[in-house]
Amino acid sequence: MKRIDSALDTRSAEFQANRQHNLALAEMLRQQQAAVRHERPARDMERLERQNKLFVRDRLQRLLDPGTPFLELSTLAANMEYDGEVPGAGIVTGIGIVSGREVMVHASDASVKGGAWYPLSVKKIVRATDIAVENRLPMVHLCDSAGGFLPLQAELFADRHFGGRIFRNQAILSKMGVPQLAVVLGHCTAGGAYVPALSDYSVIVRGNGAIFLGGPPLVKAATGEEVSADELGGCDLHTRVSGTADYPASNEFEAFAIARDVVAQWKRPTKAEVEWQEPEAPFYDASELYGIVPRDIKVQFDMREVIARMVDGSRFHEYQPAYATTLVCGFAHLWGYKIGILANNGVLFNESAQKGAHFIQLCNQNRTPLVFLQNITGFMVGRDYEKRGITKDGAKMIMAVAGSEVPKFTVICNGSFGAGNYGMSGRAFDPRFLFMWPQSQISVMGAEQAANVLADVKLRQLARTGAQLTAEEIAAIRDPVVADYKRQSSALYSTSRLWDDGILDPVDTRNALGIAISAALNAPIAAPSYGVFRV
Amino acid sequence: MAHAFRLDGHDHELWLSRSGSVYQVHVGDTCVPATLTARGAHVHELTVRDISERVVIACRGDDVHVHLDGETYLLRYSHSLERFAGQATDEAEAIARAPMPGAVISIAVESGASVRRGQALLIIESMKMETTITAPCDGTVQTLHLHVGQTFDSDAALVTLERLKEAP
Repeated sequence: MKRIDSALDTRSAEFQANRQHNLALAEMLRQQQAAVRHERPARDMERLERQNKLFVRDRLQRLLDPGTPFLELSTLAANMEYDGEVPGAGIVTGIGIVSGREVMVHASDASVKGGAWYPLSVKKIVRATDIAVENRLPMVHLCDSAGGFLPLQAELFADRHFGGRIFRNQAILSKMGVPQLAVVLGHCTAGGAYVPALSDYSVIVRGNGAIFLGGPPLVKAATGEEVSADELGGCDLHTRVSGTADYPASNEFEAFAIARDVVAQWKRPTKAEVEWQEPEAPFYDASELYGIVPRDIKVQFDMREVIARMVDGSRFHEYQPAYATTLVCGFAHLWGYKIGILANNGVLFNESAQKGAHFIQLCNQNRTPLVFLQNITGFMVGRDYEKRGITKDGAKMIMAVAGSEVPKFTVICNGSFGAGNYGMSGRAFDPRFLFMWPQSQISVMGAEQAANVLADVKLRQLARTGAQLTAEEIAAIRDPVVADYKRQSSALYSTSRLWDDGILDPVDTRNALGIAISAALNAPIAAPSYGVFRV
Repeated sequence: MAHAFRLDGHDHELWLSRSGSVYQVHVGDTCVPATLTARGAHVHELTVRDISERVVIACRGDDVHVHLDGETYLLRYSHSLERFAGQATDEAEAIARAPMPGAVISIAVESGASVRRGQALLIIESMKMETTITAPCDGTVQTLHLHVGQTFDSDAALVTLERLKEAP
């Protein structure tokens, strides 16, 4: 496999300007993440201390193996909702190493609204359990939640992927033979009570931990019975009498020691067999990625330059290098794992879509995981292309993506617009993980075009009333539409609503994908099979 | 196909195969048993047939620096994909072609200008995206096929370069 010969001019004004722009975005991301992770109002931290509880970040530190990576997911979830008052949606999720085993961690953050579940908290927990099911990842739940946030219960209770899905997924995991452990560090009320009850193992802290379907106030209202939380569902009741929880712990520290010992008893998974070789650092410096991604989303760039800064030894075996060049396809290794890469170098034409579908089939025959690097405005439009069956060819690519049995991973490096998002394994196509870069945008079409369409509709309605509009009046109608559309296509908006698994600093992409691929190989890879290709 | 190392301007083909506890170095038709044992800090003990030598080896990318018996050698790994690539004669690669239909927004070079591989030649717009067309190789601009504003089809020749002949 030959090394990519980079044509990047790192001294050019263009490179430097892009670098400035993207470094600033990465710095902003770092600050936002740091705030979500560590900044809390003093009264909330004091309350935790009074309750003799550790902060969620300190809990994670106790749980995880020191010096091992933790791939935190959707750190900035809910950043644009609930007036920004529910950092990370009040939940921490991620893949980490406990007693030498890869596990999916779900932890309540009791410093945020007492760990109450907002609609996006539920979405984040459901996503974590979905990841566990898809990748057969064992789970550790750190439970400390006040229960569902009642004012918004209509958005978190009844639907298929709302609260109930957490418990359904837990049951499915158990059925699949994937172990789960719950550590009860605070209250598990109502639905939340099922998290430890549906886990194969559970630890509960004496004093703080409690599990009950109805808390003391609800019990009093319902039956008049007056009972303390500890009497109703505390450590001793559940570990000695009811058998709802398994291991009593006298404090949080002991709870984590027991938790680590429980996980150490789990059988290590047999990973799906794929090509692997000794990893090698990329030849080109990952920090040059900052200078590659253009500050203007309209400007195209060569995705091979990105690949060169992500894969082992910057080596890339390009498939069909001279055909359908707007879709770069080829093989590489990432942290030693053989991968097939599909990367956009322009709009998708008939032959690009066919090449993509063909390459996906090759990778499925080959048992090679797929990595999609998106920068896509969509499929080509126009009579010529329709005549040659552009829609039919796009359908082939989508059929191949959807039917693919090898794990898929998607990184949205810049634009992700229209049906291009589908063909390139967008969220709806179940990539095992999907990450975004800070500068990227995602929407049904580009902001400028969409805003023009939306504004034109309004302007035409006004024109019908006979009104003559000045340039300022037109701008006054158009500008807010553009601003709103841009906000809703930003990476921050996407990650706020969990359309992705988090925003990555571009230089971290290689490591994130390495962890993601390793996790994905816990699940077996089925033999290739597809629907009917419209040929 | 054997590996090739460039030493003093010449490619040397060789191959390593396993044989019991040692390696066999194949050079042409001859085959020599050899072992290389690391002794720390780039120092190795090289045994060829029955003769052992102390040798210092340092790698940097594809360059291998070897210090042996008072002499220093620079070897460069020559990848067969590059060794046999027909670049010098492939005239098709000296033409920058349109990856998609579109229109020319701006042109960055003049006819006769010398350009380096990867240097911007012109910017095109297609499907709302601006794409910079870069020089496929080092050379001089022979023909600019289009002017600003002109539209073109996919695969149209945009700029023809005269390839810079590699110094012998």
